[in-house]
Amino acid sequence: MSSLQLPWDANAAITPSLTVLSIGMRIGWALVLGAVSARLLRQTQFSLRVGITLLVMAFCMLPSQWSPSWWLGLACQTPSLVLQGLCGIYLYQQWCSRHDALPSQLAENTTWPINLLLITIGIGWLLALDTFALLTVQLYPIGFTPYAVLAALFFACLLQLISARSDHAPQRHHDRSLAVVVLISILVHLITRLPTGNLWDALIDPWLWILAHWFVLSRLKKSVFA
Amino acid sequence: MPPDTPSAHASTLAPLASNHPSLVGAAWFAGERESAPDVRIAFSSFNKADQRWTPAVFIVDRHQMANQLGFGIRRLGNPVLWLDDEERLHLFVVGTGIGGWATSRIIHLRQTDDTRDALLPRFEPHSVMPLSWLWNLSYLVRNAPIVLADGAVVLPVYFELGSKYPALASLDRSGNFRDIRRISDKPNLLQPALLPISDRHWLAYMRMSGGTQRIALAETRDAGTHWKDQPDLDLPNPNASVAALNANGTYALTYNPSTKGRDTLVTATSLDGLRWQSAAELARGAIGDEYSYPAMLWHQNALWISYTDRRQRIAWQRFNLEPR
Repeated sequence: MSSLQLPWDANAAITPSLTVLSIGMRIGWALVLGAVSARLLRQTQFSLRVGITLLVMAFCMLPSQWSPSWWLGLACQTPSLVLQGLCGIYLYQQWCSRHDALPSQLAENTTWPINLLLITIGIGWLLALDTFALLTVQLYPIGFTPYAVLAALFFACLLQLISARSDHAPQRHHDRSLAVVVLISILVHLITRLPTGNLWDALIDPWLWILAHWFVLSRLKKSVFA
Repeated sequence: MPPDTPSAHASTLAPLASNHPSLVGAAWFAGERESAPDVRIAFSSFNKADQRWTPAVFIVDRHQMANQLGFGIRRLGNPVLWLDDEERLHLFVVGTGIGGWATSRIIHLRQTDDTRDALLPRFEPHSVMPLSWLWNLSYLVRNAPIVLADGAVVLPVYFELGSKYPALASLDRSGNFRDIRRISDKPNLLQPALLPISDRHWLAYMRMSGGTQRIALAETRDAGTHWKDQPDLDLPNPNASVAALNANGTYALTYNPSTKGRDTLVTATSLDGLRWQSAAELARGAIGDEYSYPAMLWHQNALWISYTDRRQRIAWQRFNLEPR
């Protein structure tokens, strides 16, 4: 059994093993496509919604070109762990909305914290500019360093503290869930190196970045036309 | 060429293990045409006993590799070979996503243990090199890596979605990915070829897409940590790949000496890496012919050069250079 190698071990492989990458890619797209299906089918009967969502997720786990993951991997590799976590929470909410376990805490009247959205958008823009060599400092390689993991852990802990401050209980619960997703994403990355070995790829991917723009623009639109 | 294969391009050369029956291995991509769905990576080796190249065979195809990786690959291209200090071959290939070369990723394959002593190496994927945040898109490889004193290597790579810029990927002695660093921020340089002057002083020669149509140059004096663009060389470049090499103190550069086309291919030598003198004309064809994408290897006191011959086959030549 291969021993756990932390990123500050100079001999550690930075990238995930191919087996881990392959499984991680399928699970990742299963969560994302599952959430998309659940969202698209939100007006339908619960059992139909869950059935189709589970079917889509099962398809994503199939090997080779029978799986949507195969084609999504071809186009976009693997979704970030944070996006996967958020999709996981969304699926959980959908499940709970039937059983009334957490409807008032999670699903109702909650929004993404605007600060977190703006941070996501800002970091995404910096990484996009870096990709096209439009920044003098190279940001992406920083994601391979152990310092980045430590800084991200610190940030995730800070997020935990901040998320506990909202007066609105459902919002507080929602914020805390987001903070937990970020923290767990960093820990999963630390252990498995998923999705690529680079911390930025674990925290934010272009789809999540686009989604953050969408949320902010929707909120702006709402406030303008309110 | 493998049978029934009309097109070949972008060869690479590497020494083979000391106990291997062949001296040098060559790989290139071949198929119906560049970017065709049937393009695979072909391999041949120069046999020590009969001093001939073995019949070329395909060693990597995209379907097999995609099955091992767990995601699709649309096209294959630009193989680069490297023999590590444990005498295991590594193969870096470009695999495209949805779209053309600008949606490429670099896939790193390693020779399987059971073929370490075999005449024909077999490869299995080792990793997808993580080089870009944007879905890991648009990094390609073309030229050979340089091996550092500790056995680690730096692999010249380049980005080509919209702007084109050269970079270096670092790998440890086993081929595990370490880091990536840009060579230049100029938006029209690609396919860097590295020339190590000393342990820490390297030059990078680059193909220029547009601009002055000359071979571009960058320099580092701290083993690739910091790079500085230098004035373009006084050598023309028709937007074509070049190869550079330190052959025991004599520097060699192979390039197309024209701004118009790739119909002539020459090798020049230099003592400082800046002023070059033509040493050999490798090929000269009619206007529209293509002799291009050279690869060079210094092995057993000989300079080996391979290049694309009119996109129909891979040609090669061997020279003895006077050591400096």
